[in-house]
Amino acid sequence: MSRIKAVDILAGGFVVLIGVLAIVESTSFDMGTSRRIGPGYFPFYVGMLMVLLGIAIAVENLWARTSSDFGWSLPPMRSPLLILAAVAAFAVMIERFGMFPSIFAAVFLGSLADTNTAIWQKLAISVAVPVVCVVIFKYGLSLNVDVIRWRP
Amino acid sequence: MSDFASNLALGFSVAFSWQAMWYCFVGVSLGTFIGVLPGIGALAAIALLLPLTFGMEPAHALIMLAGIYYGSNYGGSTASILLNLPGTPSSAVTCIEGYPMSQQGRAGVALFMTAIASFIGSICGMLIMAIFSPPIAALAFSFSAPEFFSLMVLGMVAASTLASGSPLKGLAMIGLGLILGMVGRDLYSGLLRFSYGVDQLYEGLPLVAVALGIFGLPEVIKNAGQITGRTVEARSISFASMWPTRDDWRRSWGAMFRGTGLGSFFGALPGTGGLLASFMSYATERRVAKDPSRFGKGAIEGIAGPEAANNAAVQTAFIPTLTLGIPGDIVMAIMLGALTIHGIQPGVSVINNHPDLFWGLLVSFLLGNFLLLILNIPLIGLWVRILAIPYWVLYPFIIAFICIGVYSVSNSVVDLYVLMFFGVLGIVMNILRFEPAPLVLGLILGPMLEENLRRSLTLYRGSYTVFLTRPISALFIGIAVLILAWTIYGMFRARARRRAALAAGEE
Repeated sequence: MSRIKAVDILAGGFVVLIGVLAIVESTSFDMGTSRRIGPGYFPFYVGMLMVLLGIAIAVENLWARTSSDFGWSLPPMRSPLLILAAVAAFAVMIERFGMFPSIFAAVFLGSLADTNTAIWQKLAISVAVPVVCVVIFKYGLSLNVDVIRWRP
Repeated sequence: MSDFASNLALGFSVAFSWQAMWYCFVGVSLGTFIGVLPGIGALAAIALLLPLTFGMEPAHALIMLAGIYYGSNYGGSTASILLNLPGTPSSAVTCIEGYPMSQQGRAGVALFMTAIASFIGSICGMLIMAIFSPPIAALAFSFSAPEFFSLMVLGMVAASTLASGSPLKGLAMIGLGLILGMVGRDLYSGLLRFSYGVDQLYEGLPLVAVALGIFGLPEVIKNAGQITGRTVEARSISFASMWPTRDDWRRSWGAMFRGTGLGSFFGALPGTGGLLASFMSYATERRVAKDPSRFGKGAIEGIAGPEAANNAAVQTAFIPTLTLGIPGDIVMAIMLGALTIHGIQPGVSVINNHPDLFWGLLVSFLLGNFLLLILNIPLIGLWVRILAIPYWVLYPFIIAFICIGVYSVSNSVVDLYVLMFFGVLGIVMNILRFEPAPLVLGLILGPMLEENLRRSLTLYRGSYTVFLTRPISALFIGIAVLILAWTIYGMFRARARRRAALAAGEE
C-alpha cells in the first residue's frame, strides 16, 4: 500500500538539492550579525527554507497515498534536444558568421523537431525565416549585427 | 479635485500626441496579433521589443509595451473560442464555455461578448487605477524598509499559494527564484555570489533570457509537431451573427461587473493576476447561477465574467508597479526593467516626479481600449484568418525571434547560454510539475527583499520584532499568515477527504 507519487519524491529531492547548494555557497561568505547582515546571511536562510520545503513536498505525498497518476515516464526527447541544439547553433555562430547563416542553422535544426513536414518544407522555412529576420532587424530596426561575416 | 483634473489634462496632452497615438496603435495591434496566435505570449513579445524602445521617450515606450500586454488579452480569447486552444494563459478558462458556443454556431456572439467584457473590465480597471494610485502612492511615502519587506513577503505568499498547483511547490519556486536573484555582485560587499566562475553574470541574470528560457522555449518544444491540422473556416463572421440576444445581455451584465471586481482586486495584489482572477470569476459565476447545469455547454456568463476579470487585472497590475515599484506580475517586472533602462528609478516617487509618464500611460489605456474594440469587433475576420497560419511555419519564426531578442539586449553570447540553461530548467520543472511564474517573481523581488531586510535590521538594531511592531507591516504579515493558515487547513481537509474516499472505496 506504499504507492508513492514518484514525481513528487523527485520534486522534493530537487528542492532539497537546490537548498543544499545555496547553503554550501553561503558558507564561503561572511554571515555577519543580524544587526549588520553579511553576504552569506540571506542565502543561508533561504537555503534552509528550501531544504525544509523539499522535505515537506516529499512527505506530503508519503501521506497522501493516492493511486492516481502514479506512473512516471520520460517525455519524448526529440523536440527538446533539437530546439536546444537550435539555440546552441545560433549562440556558436552569431559572432563568427553573422545573422543569416546562424538563423538558417538554428531554424533548420528546429524544424527537424516537427516530424509531419517534408524536407522541402523544412528547407523553405530555413531560408524564409533568415530573410524575414534580416529585413526586419537589419534594415527595419537597424540592429547592430552583420548579415554575413567570416571570423571563425 | 482640480489637481485630478489638471493631471488628467496632462495625461491627455501626452497620450493624444501623434507619436504616442501611433505607438499605442502599434502596441495594441501587435498585442492582438500575438494574443490570437497560440504558443506565443505577451511576455515573449514584450521581451523582444524591449531593445527597440531604448531610443524612444520613456512615456512612449511604456505606452507601446503596455498596449502589447492588454492587447494580447483581447486577442487571447479568439483562439480559445474558435479552436479550443488558449492564445494566452489567462484565456484558458474562456475555452470551457467559448468553444461549445462556437460548435453551436454562436462563435460570433462569443467573440462579440468577450470584446465587450474585455472593454468594460479594462475601463473599470483603468478608473480604479486613476482613483486609487495617488492615495496609495501618498500612503507609501510613509513606508520604510520594514513595510516594503512585509508587502513583498505577502505578495510572494499570495502568488505561490493562491495560484494553481501545490502551494508547497509554489513556495519552493519562490525560494529558487530568490536564490537565482542573488546571482551576481552583492551590493554591499561587492563579492560575486552564485556565479560559479562566470564573471559576465556580475550584473545578475539577464531577465529577458531567463523569462524566454523558462516560458518561451518549453512552449515551443511542447507544441512543435503537435499543433497540426487546424481547420478554421475562413468564412467571415458577419456583423449580424455577432449580435447577442437580449437573454445573452441579461446574463452577462452581472457577470461582467463581478468579474471586474475580482480582477481589479487580484490585479492590484502583487504577485497574483489575470490567470487567477479569471478562474475565480468562472467559479463565482457557476456558484451564483440559477441553473449551473448550463455550464460547460456554452453559458455566456462563463466567458463574460472571466474576460472582464483578466482585463481588469491587467490594468490594476499597474498600481503596485507604478506606485510602489513592486511588479504585479512577470510582464510588469519587464516594464520596470524598461523604466530603469530609461533612467527612471521605479518606486513611490514615480507619480510625483514623472506625472507625464503616469497620467499619459493611464489616458493611453482609454485610447488603446477603444482601438481594441474596433480591432476586435468590425475587424475580427482579419484575426480569424491569421489563425489559419500553420504552426510549422510559425514556430521557426518564434525560435529565431527568441534568439535574436535575447542576443540583442546586450549583444552577449553568454545571455544565449543563460537562455538554454533556463530552457532546460523549464523542461525539468514541467516534468516535476512546478509552476514557473513564482520563480520569476522571486527572481525579481529577491534583490529588493534582501535589501529591505538588511535595511530594516540595521535601522532597528537587528531586531526581527520590527516587522510586527510597525502597524502597516504587521497588517501585511498578518494577511500573509492568514493565507498560509488557510492553505494548510485546505491541504489537511483535502487529505481527510481523500482518506474518506479511499476508505469508502475499500469497503
